[in-house]
Amino acid sequence: MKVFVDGAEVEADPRDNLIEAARRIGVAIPYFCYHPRLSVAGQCRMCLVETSDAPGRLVPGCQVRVKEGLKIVTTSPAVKENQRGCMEFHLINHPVDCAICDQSGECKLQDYYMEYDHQPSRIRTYKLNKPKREVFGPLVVYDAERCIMCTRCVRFMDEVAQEPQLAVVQRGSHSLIATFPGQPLDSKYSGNTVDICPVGALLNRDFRFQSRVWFVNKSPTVCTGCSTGCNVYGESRGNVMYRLLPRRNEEVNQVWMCDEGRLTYHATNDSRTEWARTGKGDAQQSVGPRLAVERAVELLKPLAGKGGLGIAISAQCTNEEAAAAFLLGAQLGAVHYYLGGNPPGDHDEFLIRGDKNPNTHGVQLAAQAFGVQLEEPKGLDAVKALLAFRTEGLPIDKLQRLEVFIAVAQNENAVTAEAQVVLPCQSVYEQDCSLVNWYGRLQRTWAAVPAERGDSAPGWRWAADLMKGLGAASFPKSAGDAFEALAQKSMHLTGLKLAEIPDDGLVLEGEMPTQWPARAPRPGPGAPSIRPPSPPRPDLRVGDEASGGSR
Amino acid sequence: MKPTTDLDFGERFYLREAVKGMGVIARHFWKNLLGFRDPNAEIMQRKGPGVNMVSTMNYPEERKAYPPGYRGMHRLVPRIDGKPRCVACYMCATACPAQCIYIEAGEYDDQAIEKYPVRFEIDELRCIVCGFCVEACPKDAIRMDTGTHAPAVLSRPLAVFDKEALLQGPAVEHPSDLMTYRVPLRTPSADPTAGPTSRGDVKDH
Repeated sequence: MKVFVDGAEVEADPRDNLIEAARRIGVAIPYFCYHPRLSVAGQCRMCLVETSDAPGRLVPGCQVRVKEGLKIVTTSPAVKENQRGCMEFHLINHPVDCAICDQSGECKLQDYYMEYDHQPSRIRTYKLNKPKREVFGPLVVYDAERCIMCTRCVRFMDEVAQEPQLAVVQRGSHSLIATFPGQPLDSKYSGNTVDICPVGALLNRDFRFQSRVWFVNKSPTVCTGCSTGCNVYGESRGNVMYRLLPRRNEEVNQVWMCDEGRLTYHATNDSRTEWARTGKGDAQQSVGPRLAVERAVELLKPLAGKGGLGIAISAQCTNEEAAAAFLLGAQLGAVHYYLGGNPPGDHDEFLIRGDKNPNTHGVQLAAQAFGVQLEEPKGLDAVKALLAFRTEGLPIDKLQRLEVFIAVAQNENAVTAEAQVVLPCQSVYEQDCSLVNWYGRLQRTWAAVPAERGDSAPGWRWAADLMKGLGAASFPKSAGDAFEALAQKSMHLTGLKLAEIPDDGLVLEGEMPTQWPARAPRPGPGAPSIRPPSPPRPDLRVGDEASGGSR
Repeated sequence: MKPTTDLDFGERFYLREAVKGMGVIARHFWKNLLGFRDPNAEIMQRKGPGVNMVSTMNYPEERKAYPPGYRGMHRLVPRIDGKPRCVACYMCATACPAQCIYIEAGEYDDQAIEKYPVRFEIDELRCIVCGFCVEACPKDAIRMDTGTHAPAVLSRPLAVFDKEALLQGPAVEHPSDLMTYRVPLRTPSADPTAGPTSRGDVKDH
């Protein structure tokens, strides 16, 4: 469908409104209340434009659909005057407390003031005083003075979260957003209201006052809170993470994420295992990574090939860590493999899955590829030595009777206190790696934290160092190597390389479920991201896969 | 060939000029010795009559006043209630080309302008005294009008000035004070739904 935006021809979708049609050629029609995933409210009047259908009048660009041959004018004096006037109205009672407002730097009022208004205030009376700092719920705090009543948050709670916990109360200039008596904003998706708030009215209590937004680096990564694997941006500075924000992926999380996922970055900041150490209890000694690996090799060498050795892999491990762990297990002749992980939690029909681990599917896929049987960690009695890759879900009472226990751990906890050698592991947010979500979507993540924390390294690197110390001729030398070691054995990943995984992921067709939660975003039939399985190459022998770095 | 010169006969004769030169030296010697010179009004804290009334300044016992507009030590400007005017907006830290300002923000429970610096530290060794922080401040909360420079210190940590050390000097009124002393319409309750955990120490600054 052809329309004309300021004289330029645009090929628009018939479902487009004027804002989306103009966006196709990079013409920005300003808006506050419109959101592509919410119903149209027409609250802010900022998007009024002129069209050939209604000459001399202004129509809302968010609400009017395109039609064949429609001419849209976004630069006429009437449109410009409306935009300037709208900004003036929005700012009448705005406190302009940008200095203490966490939204500054990503605020639409700031951007549009510079773009469309840019004149001093003409208001000579006092501004209206409204409630400030109202705590709406565990994650959200509300400032009514900054609010421009776009009602995005209200519509989000009604339409997407489907838990109507917010409403507009009062009238005219006195109107404000409020929760209902006795009902805080405690939805599991409440954090999204902060993201879609175009101004600083709704703020995240977790991030509030922690940093200004222009100080943090934004990097794409994948949430580790549950097996949905929502695409997110990790924001960090130095070696500290500050927040997670949803990243658009229509087939996984659309543009939303849950509150629990938002807080998963805390494990990257708090109680980290930063340095390698040997010994437990009073004999504990912080040592360099090389000495720690030497000590681990010393403990493991007598056990190699003798049986009685188990390897525990947490479902928090990445594909690369799992692959390297299985390679190491094959070299050591491990007899038992255990799948640990966080205990299952609540789930719903939208984004939250009950499995609270990001990569259960990937570890299972890797086990299948390496021909290994995964067992429950409660069967730890069968082994007398254990090498654990990440420590979630290991029974502490059974660890105490182990003769040898070596842990590759991200956080300090009761399990790491039992280990004879602890090797510090990077979190998923700090690694280049890949994960497989609950419905078989292979997703790439990128390191989202610029600075290293202590001696921490990806789990596959510790596995590779151990393999080297135990005398392996070949071992993974990069995350890409470790991934290839897996890809060459798995029929679902044949021929894939880590660097070639598309930014928004691949769906492994053979791993897709038949049952879907009612509202979970999913790839449509025949979506370009779906990848069929292909048989593994028969010419490869076991052991070849680890030669990656030398090729 | 006769050398070209603009000296007259007496100067070329040497002896007369040498005696004149010794006369100048003798005059300065007696003036300095007896303190005949006028004290330089610009030099502060000139000690005693006589001996010190010379053009040489005995720093640091004697000091010269800095010119008006001199960018000296920073100070955090107090409000009239003694609290810092700073709202921890990080504008100074953003503008600072030497990255010498470190701020941690906190929250007042009982004030309309709820944000304030829990920590505000300036590393005066890193500071290049450019004054951008003063220019950037939207609240007139940081000034360099103390008229002194950063003191010499015996170890580097002593050059990091914290909030208490920087918060000094006369209080200053500001139009935004109207907002500051406004009682909030609704103070946050005792927080029935406790927020998420606090962040660990920022170690990378």
